[in-house]
Amino acid sequence: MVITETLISAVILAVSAVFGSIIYIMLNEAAKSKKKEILEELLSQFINLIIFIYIIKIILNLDVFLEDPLAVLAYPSDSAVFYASLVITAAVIIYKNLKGRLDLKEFSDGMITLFLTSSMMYEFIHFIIYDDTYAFVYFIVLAVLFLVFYVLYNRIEKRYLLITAVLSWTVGIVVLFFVYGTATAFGYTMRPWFAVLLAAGVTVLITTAYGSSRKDEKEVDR
Amino acid sequence: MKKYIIIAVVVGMLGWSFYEFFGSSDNDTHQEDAGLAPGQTAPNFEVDTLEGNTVKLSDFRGEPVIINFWATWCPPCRAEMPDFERLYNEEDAVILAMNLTHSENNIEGVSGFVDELGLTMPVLLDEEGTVEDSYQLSAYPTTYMIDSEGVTQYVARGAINYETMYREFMVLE
Repeated sequence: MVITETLISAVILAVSAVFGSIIYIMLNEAAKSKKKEILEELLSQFINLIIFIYIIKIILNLDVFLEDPLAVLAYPSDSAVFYASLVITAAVIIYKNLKGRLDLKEFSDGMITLFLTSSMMYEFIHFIIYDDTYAFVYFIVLAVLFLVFYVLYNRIEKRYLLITAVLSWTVGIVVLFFVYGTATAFGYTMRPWFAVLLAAGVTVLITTAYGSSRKDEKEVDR
Repeated sequence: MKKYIIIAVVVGMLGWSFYEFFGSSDNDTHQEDAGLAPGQTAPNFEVDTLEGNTVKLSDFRGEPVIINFWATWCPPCRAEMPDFERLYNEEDAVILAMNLTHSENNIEGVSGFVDELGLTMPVLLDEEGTVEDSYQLSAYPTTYMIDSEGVTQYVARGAINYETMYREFMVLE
């Protein structure tokens, strides 16, 4: 049986996602049904992301795709495709929130916890399998960040915790980029401008989520 | 209890990675045997290029080398070729594009493919399949990234994109 890089990557990604989900379930104190709902929503958005990646990849290489579909489908997408897909997925999340079909507060908590822990496992496995120095250094950054996140979890206000985690991750990525000449997350290059833009976007998302939930609570009190 | 489990898992992962990182780098310096795994010296070969020159892997000792095994009939090989060409031109990387010539219909097809994609990196011809056998290929394309000491540092079975190539090449350098 031929085990290709694509198959290995998919297995590493799946193991990382399962690890992240287990940590989220153990860490979060919400009701079981709520956690299940958030994990389902995260999975749904992850599937959306994958679908968008394929669609954009095909659109950008339509001429090659019509001639030789496998050449496009079998080739790993680059960061430009990933960034575009992430922006569209973010738009879907915002749309669902505006329609009242998404609890943005719990979703952002789950998303950041899962991102940190899954990335940590992903880089760890990558380092163990490929003996990759960059993966080792990034894993150390993520592990330290997660331990701080874990210690502060439920000790400081959640929105400040999440924003601190996002900003610290961004600083880590930018530093790694300048030290190694490249920085990746889940195999995709994270250019400093995109990491900063992503952090700004997620910070706005968190602030909006917690701002609107506070407003809702006040209205309920009245 | 949950708290301690999570901390124990993360600390365990940290400990393992530190052990692997510092422990394995000591071993690597002593590993001079030929083999296919990362950390082992890549098997030498001598083949002709498409231009008719003879190339030996050992000629490149002292600089990092990327060997990419490919064929014209392999769609993912076709997809990743322009990215290898880009790495060759932009980063001045030594890339040996090893064509599995014994599996091709004819050599004109290989020349046509090279012209069509405008490849300028050296295209090597594995006419008898001996290099493929010595590297025991199980997937197409396969890429070996070899450091300046001739030791394999990274193997990709299947297509990789430019960002992975670039990242692993940076590690080699």
